[in-house]
Amino acid sequence: MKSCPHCGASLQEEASFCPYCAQAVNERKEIQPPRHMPGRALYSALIVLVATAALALLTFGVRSRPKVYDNGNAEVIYTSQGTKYQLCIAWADYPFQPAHQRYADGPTDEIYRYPALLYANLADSETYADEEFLELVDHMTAEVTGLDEELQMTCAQPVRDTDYVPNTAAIVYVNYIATAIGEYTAELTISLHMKNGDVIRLHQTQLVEIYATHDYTAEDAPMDTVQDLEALLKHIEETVDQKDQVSIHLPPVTYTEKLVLDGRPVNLTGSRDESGHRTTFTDTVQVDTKSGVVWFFEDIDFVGRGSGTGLSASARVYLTDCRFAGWDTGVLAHTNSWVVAHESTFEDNGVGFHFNAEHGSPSDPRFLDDRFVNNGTAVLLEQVPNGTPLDFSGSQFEGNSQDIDNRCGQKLELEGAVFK
Amino acid sequence: MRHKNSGKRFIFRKFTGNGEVYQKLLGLSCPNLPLILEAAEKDGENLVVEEFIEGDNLGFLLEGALFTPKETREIVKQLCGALWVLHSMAAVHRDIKPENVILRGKDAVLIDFDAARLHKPGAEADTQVLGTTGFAAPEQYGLSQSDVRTDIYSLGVLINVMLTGEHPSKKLAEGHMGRVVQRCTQVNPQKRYKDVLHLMEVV
Repeated sequence: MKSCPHCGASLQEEASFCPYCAQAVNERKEIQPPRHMPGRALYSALIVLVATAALALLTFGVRSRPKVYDNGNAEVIYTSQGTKYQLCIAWADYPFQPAHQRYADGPTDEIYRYPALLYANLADSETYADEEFLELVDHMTAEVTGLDEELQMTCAQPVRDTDYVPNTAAIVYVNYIATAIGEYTAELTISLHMKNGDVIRLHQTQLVEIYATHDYTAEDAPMDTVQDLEALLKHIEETVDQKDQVSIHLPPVTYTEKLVLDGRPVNLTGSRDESGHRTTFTDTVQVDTKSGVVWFFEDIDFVGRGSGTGLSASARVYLTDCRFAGWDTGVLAHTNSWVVAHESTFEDNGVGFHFNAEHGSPSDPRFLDDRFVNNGTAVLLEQVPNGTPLDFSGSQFEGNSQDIDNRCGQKLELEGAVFK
Repeated sequence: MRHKNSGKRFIFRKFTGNGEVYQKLLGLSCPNLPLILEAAEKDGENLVVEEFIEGDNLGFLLEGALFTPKETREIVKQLCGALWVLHSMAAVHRDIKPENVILRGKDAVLIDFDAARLHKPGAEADTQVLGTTGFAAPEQYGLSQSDVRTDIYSLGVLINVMLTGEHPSKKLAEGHMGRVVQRCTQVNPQKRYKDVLHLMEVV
């Protein structure tokens, strides 16, 4: 317990506010947002800065080389021959904004790999300068430090691979596996050893959260009808931590009623009986959740009768080996959505796959090894929420009235696609 | 609500969701954000006590008249300052609209963080895909993160509404401010202003 400094009332230790005298009782940091500095003030400040620098130069002489540049974070500004470079570890979609931390999550005992991207830009103009900067670099190294006992994280040495992510100076692949549930921290350090002897060090904190996994089969709960599924999802919502991963293994039955999924995301995996019949939905499956977590659907048929929508998603959805047949629209990705399909089939639909989402963070931009057969329009791109090119490598288009109606002008990679 | 003894007025919020941003604001004070006096959370239910801001919101004021470019610039610069504080603590407001801006004298105050959340870089990006694909090729993931420039987009729309009364897709503001709005509302976040300080500068 503590006392209110204003009225002396007895308060809980963590209280920020005194309900007796209506005064704030916690310490606050006053923040004045930065103000735009008028040109004249800026000019005056510049003069002072130049004069100070000149005085320092006269006093201490020219600094000696080589020098280590290390701000303890993911960005260093480095000047060479009058050119100011920004070196930073960043995301591909924000290449000029240093990412001092990187967040990753997953279940235990699974191996993960992701790339850390190093950019070399011109500091003043948000322009890539990887090629000219790399001429100044002798070699680069990378290491991971500060590991917990349960987190095994390693990294490869930096490689240049602009085919994978354009405009990067180097990519460092980070691998990890964790053996216990928990939150872990490690630090990735990339060192650039310059030809003139300077060393530039960039650091990115790796935050890894490992969660539990739960699997449900028809032996654990009834799964014969949509009502059964709704009851199971409600039970999971109430009993399982939101952070945990849930996989539901569906029996090879046909669900004939509409299923609305608007709670916590789960992975839905279908199955096949001896006669070859797979788990099937004959009415719309609607996925509507604001969470950024991905819903996975695997090995499931969505079979319509010439109208309606097979899967309507305003969420992030990942489809593997699913089949959409006989719908007005096979898959509709709308509002806050990113849907991607691998090894899936879209056949005999008015529109096979319709992308019309205003927002949505991509999980994977590739539509690999899909089949689009006998649709009115196989792929309709009305609005795609991110400029990342969609890659249709290995996908087949056959017998569609129109293969791709790219109304929003999305960049596409069609080199590996087959159009019959 | 009104405090019985002192007569002071406060806003009492009760909402379901993530209250992390309110927790962070407990330790701060900024002229363009309301003072958060208490914030408590249990099982996703949040209770917040915050300063009552005396003034009219922009939504109400816009019913009477549009703002001049000069007035708009002054207000937007202050909103950029408020957002700078939020973005500095890795939070995104996500609900910038006229009704959430109150004019208190010359100060513009940004309110309502019920939709705000702390931004975890990469939290929506890659590893979810990885979770079921195991040791997959690196090109499969890691290319994106959730959008921290959502607020800049909304601010662009707000600027346009203050000047024209319309969404930019219907009627774009004229001149320099119109160009600012255009850049703020680019569909591709990468083409928007890098951060609110850039926006503050061009405004």
